[in-house]
Amino acid sequence: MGSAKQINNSNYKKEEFLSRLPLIIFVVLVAWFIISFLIIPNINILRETFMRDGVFSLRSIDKILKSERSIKAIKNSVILAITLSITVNIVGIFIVLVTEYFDIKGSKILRVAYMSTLVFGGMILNNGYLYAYGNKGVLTKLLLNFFPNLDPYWFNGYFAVVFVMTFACTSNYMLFFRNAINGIDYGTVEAAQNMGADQWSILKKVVLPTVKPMIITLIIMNFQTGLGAMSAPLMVGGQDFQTISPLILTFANRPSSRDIAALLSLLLGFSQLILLYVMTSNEKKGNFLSISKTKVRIKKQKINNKFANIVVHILSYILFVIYSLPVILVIIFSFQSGRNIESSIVTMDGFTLENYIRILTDQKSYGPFANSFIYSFLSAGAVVIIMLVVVRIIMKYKNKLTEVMEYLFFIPWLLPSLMIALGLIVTYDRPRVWMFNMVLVGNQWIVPLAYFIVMIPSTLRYLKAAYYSFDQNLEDASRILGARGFITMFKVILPALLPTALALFALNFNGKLSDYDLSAFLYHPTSPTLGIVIRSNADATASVDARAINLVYSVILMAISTIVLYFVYGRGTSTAEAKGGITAK
Amino acid sequence: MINMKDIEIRYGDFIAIHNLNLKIKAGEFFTFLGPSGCGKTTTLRALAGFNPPSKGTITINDRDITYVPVEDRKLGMVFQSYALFPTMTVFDNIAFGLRVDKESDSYIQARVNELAKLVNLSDDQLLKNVSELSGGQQQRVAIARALAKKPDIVLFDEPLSNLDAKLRKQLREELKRIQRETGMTAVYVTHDQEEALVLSDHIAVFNDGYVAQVGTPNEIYDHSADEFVCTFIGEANKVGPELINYLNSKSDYKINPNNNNYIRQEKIKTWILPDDNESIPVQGTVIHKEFYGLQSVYDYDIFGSKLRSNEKEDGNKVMEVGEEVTLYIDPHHILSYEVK
Repeated sequence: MGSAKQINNSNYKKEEFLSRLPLIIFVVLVAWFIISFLIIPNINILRETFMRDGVFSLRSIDKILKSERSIKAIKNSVILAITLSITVNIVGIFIVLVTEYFDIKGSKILRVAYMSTLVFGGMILNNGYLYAYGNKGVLTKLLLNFFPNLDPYWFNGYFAVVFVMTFACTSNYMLFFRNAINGIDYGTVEAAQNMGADQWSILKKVVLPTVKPMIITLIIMNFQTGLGAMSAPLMVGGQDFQTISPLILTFANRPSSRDIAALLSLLLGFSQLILLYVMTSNEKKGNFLSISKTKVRIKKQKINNKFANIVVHILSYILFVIYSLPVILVIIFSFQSGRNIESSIVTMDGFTLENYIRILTDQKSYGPFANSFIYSFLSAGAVVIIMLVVVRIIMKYKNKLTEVMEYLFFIPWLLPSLMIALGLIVTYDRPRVWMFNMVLVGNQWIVPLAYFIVMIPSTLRYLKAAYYSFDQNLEDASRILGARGFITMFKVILPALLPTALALFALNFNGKLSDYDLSAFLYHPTSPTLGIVIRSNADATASVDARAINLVYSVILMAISTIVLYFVYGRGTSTAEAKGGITAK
Repeated sequence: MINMKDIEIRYGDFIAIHNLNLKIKAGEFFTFLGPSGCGKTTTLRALAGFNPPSKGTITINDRDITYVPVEDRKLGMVFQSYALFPTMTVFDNIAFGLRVDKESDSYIQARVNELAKLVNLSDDQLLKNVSELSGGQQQRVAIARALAKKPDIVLFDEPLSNLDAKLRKQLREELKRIQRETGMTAVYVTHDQEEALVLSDHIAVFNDGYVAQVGTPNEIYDHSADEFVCTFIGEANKVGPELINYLNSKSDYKINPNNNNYIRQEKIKTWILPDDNESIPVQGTVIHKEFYGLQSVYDYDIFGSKLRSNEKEDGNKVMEVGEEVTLYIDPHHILSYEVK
């Protein structure tokens, strides 16, 4: 009996080892990936900054202190960060309150306009604002008719950057702050009314304090966005208002100033770490990124004070125009002939599909689109698939090793994406043994690789959250019915995680389709990405053709983003999740 | 059939189960009963293979399964949360185990239909998604799924605890019928003592990682092995030494008044049969009364002990607060435990 038991057990142990072999290979690959792409590149940035000919040196600090341009850029970035934390916050809170909390006429159409930045963001938003307000912009031309002395380059510098970014960055408010306002217990408002509080004091003393942790988090995010701003200063900042990130890009392209680029990126990385620390300690006081879908909706408040009501209505519609004008102009002019685009007029007979046809048939025009599509598709797909396996390992084998693995995967969250890009450049611009002596810089696949890296943290976080809320008993039930690991994984666990995985794929894909920040560092000149091309087409000196191409790109990107967002948010993820065995906590 | 020998289950430094020994016979309905956190579910999961014991052996029909993987144990299991696969239809849920075993389609079809009939699921319901079913129907699916592969042993982890009282009662009766009809061995975990008493052939009462008593429902109830079992099962009144001394003075059956002594609620009688020579009349005062419709619950003061008893509201005996009454207590019904 005893020996039979031993044989029995040793057989099972041997079988267990064999069945674990793929797991061991996967873990080794993951370890190689983490070391090669998440650890070494960032160490190399430190080395690049502080090591000269093998010895420690502070020369880069000295260089920056002597570089007027760098100091000015740092100053500008800080000014921008502070300004945006104020302006974005004011506009963001205002647009949420007028669409969700106060009873404003036409709030549905207002909401659509305010939410447009969700699909009309990043490079295409910059391009759109330039199209409206730039030197050849529709509005600039209109204004010139009335004020011939107006400088056509009026939309430039600090003011323009703040203007563009203020409206570009309110997306987070429409996503998270809106959720928070809708999640407020309406009973508290009624209780305050019952005790005789007026509208203003209810807002100030009951509503806003409830969502204060969220507001603080959003302010920190605004600050961070301002500090690391890349495309807006580049496109509308002009010579006078250059910030850190574009400067890093310039310096990174000159081998002699790479140490300055590295130091500047360290500066950004360091401030991001501090901000993240502040944000997490703030988050502990209240929840953030809550995807709770509250059923009890807040009742809209009619503003009692007549004068205030009128002022709020007027402001709401001014914002409506600011948000929607660039979008509408881009859509309309994408269907207009070249001549109309040139002279900024809209005519019925100028309506044409020519721009679309040309772009969809000309390799030079659809090439960048195809590149971005492929890079985003591959990286978004790969990151979701690989993180599904990683999450499964993390959840199944809870030990020190998997814990460390998880922490390391969050590195790209701690660092600005341009530091990740720079790390790859300074590390893989020469053959490395652990990379099988391949030079990655100059290889077009380094772009999707970088996308993949920056997508890891959020993908991991949300898949893990989905896994947590997945009923563990389902796995047990499958096993006791005789299903082994693989069958359980494919028939029970994967179908349950699928809605979340698909949503993450879509959001990742969407987020990188018009990427500029990473591509700018890593793209191969023969296969530029969409972001790069939109940027160069938006140049003040660009031809009408180039501008037409940008218009079409923008419309197509908006269409794709809208479809993606519809599938992720619009169709009711909660039903899909309920079907998938994910229960709301 | 099932033999759990010297089982210890640890979670790190915490010992969830100490030295457990249980024998479960083929075809019986065996219940693990105890308050939450006592180790009953842990023991069931060890039997299922989800958390292997740190010491001891588990055998089924003399085959050592202590370290056999879950999927090779050939056990059925019904989970507290039902654990129905939400991405599959009712049919696919029930057929899951059969498909894993690569049974033929015709067999699967026939078997699922047979099970649907057994647990009272209609053909329409088989095609529905599990989320479209009510809690009771979901539990029927879970039971059918657990029985699909005709396991000799089916484990039930508090399967009725998520249902409302009425449905719980109804499904409890059906469960007993299904067990009888299939002849399976059922190992059932519950914290509901009534459920345990009604369903079980044998009950193991768990307390804080130990098995306090194993026995038939009658044994557990009327001869509770220790104070914990006595107070956990049913309603028990603590009897003070004054009353014990009085009973001792009137009977040859002596009880130690220094022990912790208990008497069950229904064993305090307001009348006795003519041939009852054991019960001793005692005087008590009604100090509180609660009316429940079917019955009333009375609190009496008897020799300084507050004793609670219930009386069927059949109109035969109605007492008011403050009323003096004669009650009858059989000293053999006193459950006496040494003070630890």
